[in-house]
Amino acid sequence: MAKEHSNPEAVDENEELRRVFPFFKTWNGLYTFVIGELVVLIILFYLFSEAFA
Amino acid sequence: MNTIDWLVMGGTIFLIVFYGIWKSRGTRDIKGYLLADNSIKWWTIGLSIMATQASAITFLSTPGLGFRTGMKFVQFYFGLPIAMVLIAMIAIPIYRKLNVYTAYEYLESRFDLKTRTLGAILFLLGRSLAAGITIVAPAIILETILGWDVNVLCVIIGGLVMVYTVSGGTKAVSQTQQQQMAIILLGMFVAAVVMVNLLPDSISFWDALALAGASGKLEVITLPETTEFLQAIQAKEAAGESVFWLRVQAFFEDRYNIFSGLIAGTFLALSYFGTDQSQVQRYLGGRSITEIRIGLLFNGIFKVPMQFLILLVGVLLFVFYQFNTPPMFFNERERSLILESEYGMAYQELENTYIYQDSLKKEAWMAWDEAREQLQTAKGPEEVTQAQMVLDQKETIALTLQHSMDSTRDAGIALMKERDQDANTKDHDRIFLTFVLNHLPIGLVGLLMAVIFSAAMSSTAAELNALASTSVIDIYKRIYNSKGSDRHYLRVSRQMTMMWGILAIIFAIIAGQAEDLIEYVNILGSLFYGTILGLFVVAFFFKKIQGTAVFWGAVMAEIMVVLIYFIPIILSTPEKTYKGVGYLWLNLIGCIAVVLFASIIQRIRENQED
Repeated sequence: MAKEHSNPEAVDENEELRRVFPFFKTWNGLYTFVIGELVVLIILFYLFSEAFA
Repeated sequence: MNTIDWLVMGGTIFLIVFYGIWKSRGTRDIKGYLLADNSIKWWTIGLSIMATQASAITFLSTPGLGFRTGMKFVQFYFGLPIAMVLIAMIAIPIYRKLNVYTAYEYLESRFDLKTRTLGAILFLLGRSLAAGITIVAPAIILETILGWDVNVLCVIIGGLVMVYTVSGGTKAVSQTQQQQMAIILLGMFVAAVVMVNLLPDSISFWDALALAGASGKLEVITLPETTEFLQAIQAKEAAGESVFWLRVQAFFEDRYNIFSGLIAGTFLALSYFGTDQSQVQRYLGGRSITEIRIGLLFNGIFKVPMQFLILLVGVLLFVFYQFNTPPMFFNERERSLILESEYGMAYQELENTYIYQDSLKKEAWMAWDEAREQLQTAKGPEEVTQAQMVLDQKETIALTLQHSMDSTRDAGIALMKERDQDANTKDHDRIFLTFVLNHLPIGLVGLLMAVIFSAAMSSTAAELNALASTSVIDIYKRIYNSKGSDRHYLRVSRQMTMMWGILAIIFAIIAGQAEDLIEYVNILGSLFYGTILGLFVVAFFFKKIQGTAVFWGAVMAEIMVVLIYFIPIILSTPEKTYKGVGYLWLNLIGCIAVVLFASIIQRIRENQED
C-alpha cells in the first residue's frame, strides 16, 4: 500500500480501477480477490468431494 | 430435427453473422481491423476471451468427460486465475506501452528479428493446425445428426466464420463472441434444468448428487495416485522395495490432479493467454489498460465455476442415464459398422445383456433411494444402524451392476477393436448430444445445435483473426513489404484472413476422424506453448540473456519437447505401451528448457567474448 502511494503511476491506475469498480480500492485488492476466490473454490470443491464421497 | 429446430438454429446463426457484419461496418484502416480502434470494453474482452477458449469441442466433450470420469477435469483450470493475475500485472502494461499489434512484436523490441519470427512461426504452426481441429470436431459429430457430409459441414462452419471475420476483423469477432457466449450459457443452463426435471419424481437434485457421489463421480480434488499406481505402490511396499520413482512417475503421468492443475496448468494458461495471439488479440483492442485487466480478471473469476457447472451437467447426465437406458456405445456410426460386420451377432448379444443389466440397475437405484428416505426418517440408534446397513447393501448392488455394465461395454469395445484396430472407441464427445437429440423438447434441440455452431464459430473466428494479424504484422509487413500504405495492409489482412480460413477448412477435411478431440487440441498446444512461453519468460525476467542465446535455446527446447512426447509413442508396441509424461507438463518442461538452454548459451557466448 505504502509502496503504491509512493508511485504516482500506480495511484493513477488505482483511481481508474475505482472509477469502474468502486468497491476495489487498489489493483492489489482485486488480484488478491481473484486468488482468494480460487483458494475458496478449492476448499469448497474439497468439502463437496468429501460430502458426497 | 423438427422444422422449428431448424428455424431456431438457422435464425440464431444468421442473426449472429448479420450482427457481426453490421457492428463492424466502416472498418477503413489496419488499426480498426486488427485492434478494433482500441474501443473494446472490459465485459466484451472477458466474454471474448472465454468464447475463444471454449470451442465446440469444450461443450461436446466436457459433459462427456463428466459422465465418464466425473468432476476431476475441473482441476485442469486451476492455474487459469493465477495466470490471469500474472498477465494483468506484468504483460499488459508492457504490451500497451509498446502499442503492439501482436505479442511477437515485443520479442523484437526485447531481443531481435529472428526471435520474433521464431515466436510467430511457432504460433502459426500450432494454431493453424488447431484451427482445422476446431472446425472438424463439431463437423464429425454434426454429420451423424444432420446427415450431411462432414466435408460440407467443414465448409459451412468455416465459410460462415469467414463471412464476418474477413469483412469486420477483430471488432466483428469480439462483438459476435458476446452473443455466442450468451447463447452458449443459456443453452447449457436450459439443458441442465431439463435434465433434472426428467429424473424420476422421487429423485431430487440432492438425491442425484448423492447417487453421483456414491458412484465416485463427484471427486473434484484428486492427488496424482491412480488406482493402477496405488496397486503398484502397495505391491512394491509389500515387497520392501523403494517406491520413490514410482511416485515420481505417478506425479508426471496422471493428467488431471491438483498439482498438475495448479503448477502445469498455470504455465499452460500463462502461455495460452499471455503469448498466443488468438487470445492476446482479444484484449489488445481494449479501450485502456484498466479495461483489459478487468476483462482478463473477469475470466479468472468465472472460468473455474463455469467449467465446474459444465462438468456437473455431465454428472447429472450420468444420473439421468441411471434411470433411462443409455446406448451401450454412443457413437452410432461405429455401432452400425460392427452390427453390419461378422461381429454383429456377438455385439447384439452384448447389447441385450447390457439392457438387461441396466433394468436391474434401475431397480437397484430406486431401492437405494427408498433406503435413503428410510435412513432420513429413522429414529433411534438401532433404526439408524439398520437403515444404514440396508442403504449400503442397495448401493453395493447398484454399483456392482454398474461395473457389470461397464465390463459388458468393454467387451463390446474389444469387439470393435477386433473388427478394426483403428475403430474410434471413445464416444464421450457424443454423450451430451445424444441426450439433446433424444430428450430435449422441440425448439430447445435447435437452440443447443446453435450452441455448438456458436462455439465452433467463436473459436475459429478468433483463430483466423490472429493467424491473419501475425502473418501480416510479423511476417509480411516486417520482412517482405514495410513500405505499403494503410489501405494496402488492410487489404492484405483481409486476404490473409480468407487464406487462413481456406487452409483451416482444408486442414479440417484432412484431419478427418480423431479420437478424444478436446485432448488432441490441448496436446497440440502443449507441444508449442512451453517454448513460446519460455521466450516471453526470458524476455520479462532474464534481462542479461540476448537474442541469439534465447533463439537457439528455444530451438533446442522445442526439439526436446517434441522428442519427449513422441519417443514413448514410437517405442510403444501392441504388447508394451509406454505412457510418457502427461501433456500438461510439456508446457512447464518447454518453458524451463528455454530458460536453461538460453542461460547456458548466453554464458558460453560471454566466455567466448571474454
